[in-house]
Amino acid sequence: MKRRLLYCAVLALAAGSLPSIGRTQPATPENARHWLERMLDSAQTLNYEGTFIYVQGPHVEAMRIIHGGGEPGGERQRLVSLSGPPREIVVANNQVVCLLPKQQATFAGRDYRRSPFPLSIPREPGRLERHYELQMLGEDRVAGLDAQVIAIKPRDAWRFGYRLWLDRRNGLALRSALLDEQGQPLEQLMFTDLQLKPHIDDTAFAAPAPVPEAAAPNAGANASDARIPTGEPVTQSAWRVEQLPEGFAEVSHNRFTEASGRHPTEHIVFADGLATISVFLERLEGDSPLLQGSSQLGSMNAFGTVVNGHQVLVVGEAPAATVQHIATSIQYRPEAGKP
Amino acid sequence: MADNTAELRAPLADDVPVAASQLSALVDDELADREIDLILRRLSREGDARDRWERYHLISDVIQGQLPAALDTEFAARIRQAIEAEPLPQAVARPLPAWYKPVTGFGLAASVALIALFGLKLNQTDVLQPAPPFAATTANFATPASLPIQTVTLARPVHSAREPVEARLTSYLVNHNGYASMSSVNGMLPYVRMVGYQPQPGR
Repeated sequence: MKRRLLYCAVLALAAGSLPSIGRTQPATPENARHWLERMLDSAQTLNYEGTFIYVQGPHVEAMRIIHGGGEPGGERQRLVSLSGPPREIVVANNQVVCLLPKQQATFAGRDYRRSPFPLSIPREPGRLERHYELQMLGEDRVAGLDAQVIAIKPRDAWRFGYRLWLDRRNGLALRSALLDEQGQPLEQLMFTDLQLKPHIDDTAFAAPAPVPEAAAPNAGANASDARIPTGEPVTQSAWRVEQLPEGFAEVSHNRFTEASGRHPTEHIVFADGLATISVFLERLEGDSPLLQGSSQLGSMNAFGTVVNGHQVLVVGEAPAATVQHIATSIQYRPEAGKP
Repeated sequence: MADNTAELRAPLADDVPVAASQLSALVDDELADREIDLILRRLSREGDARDRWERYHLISDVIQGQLPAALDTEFAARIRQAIEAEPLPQAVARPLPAWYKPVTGFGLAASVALIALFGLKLNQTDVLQPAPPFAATTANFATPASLPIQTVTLARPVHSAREPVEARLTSYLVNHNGYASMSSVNGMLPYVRMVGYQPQPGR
């Protein structure tokens, strides 16, 4: 009798576990990955308008976003601050126009986004999962919408983690939190209102009108504006980062010159599939360095140092140790840069 | 007890005996905070109340045997006159806290906003530590925990050429976030960071 009971228990266990192998269990990483892929897809293709709250440390901001989906590279978005001094960013037509009070900067010009970004999540989800663990965390509600919560946990201390609340209908990120090494939120974003739209008019993505003050020295924000920094890929460089933190790889190396006439700046980008770290190298020519040592720019960590008369500035949404590690392992090898 | 009496007395504040008992309680340090506030306002307004307050203090001193050798009943009045005759203190120029962001008038707000957005605090360490040595093999990565993080100790004094410095930082940040938006888990986040960046208070 006892034996039969045991036998039944084993059968029941087997019955319970077998189908779950066939079905995808909610707790498997595949499913969290599936949600991530849905999120990336919807973030690119959907038209929506919404208002969200952005919390960074002690600061709270309200912003409005208008997003127009499209082919890769064809997405458009407008981001407007609703509190404090007016600020605005419009991403459209391979351009990023930032309307920041007193300064209107246009980023990158025509080639922006055309070059494929090799380490992005949709291309290499496997790479992401080497350094981050994906987890399903259950359900919640954001902006009145049902949300699926997923966690992206770093597998080591070189990177930050995320928690994401995704719209159960389409995977759109309704809320996100960037978490530090201790799991404490560094920055949070949460929609309070989100509306999907069948169509968004092109006028919504017109470049912001420059404020008179900003327009005075360098009027206009059109494509021929002299303020567009021109970037060119760098194939030969004297700069080497000898010791990259595990999982980070170089994804871009450009040289850009501000039209203001400053000397060219080299910009090297490292990524691990999720976090992005930029290294800027600029000859000082007697100027005092911008930054020496650690600093923070909101949720981004920065580290500055001077190597061979150049300002080395490393910036990224990664732990201070990661940014410092990259900054301090940069070496100048002029002979290596010669063809 | 004080709370109860306050409830009863407040509507009768003009009643002299009530004010007198409040003054008496004030002298004996037995008055509730809310009542102290009321009675102090009354003291600053009414000469009669002030005289009464002085007399009560005198009585209190007599009872407690703390009477001075000589009495100067006009002492408080002279102090008051001296204070009234003094010029108003000038506003002292004080460094604004880091979070301070005026919103009155766009021109003013604008000049501050750029600093708020891209005013990477120009901090300097006293001595830049030498780069920590790292293992030479790529397989053996240093653990982040073992890295010395420098503490930023000193804010640089006002920069003579602030605008170019900020322009450079702006271009750095715009460039970084432009690339970050292409690989970020949430493509809008890097732009949100640019729009929403504000310096840490007290840093």
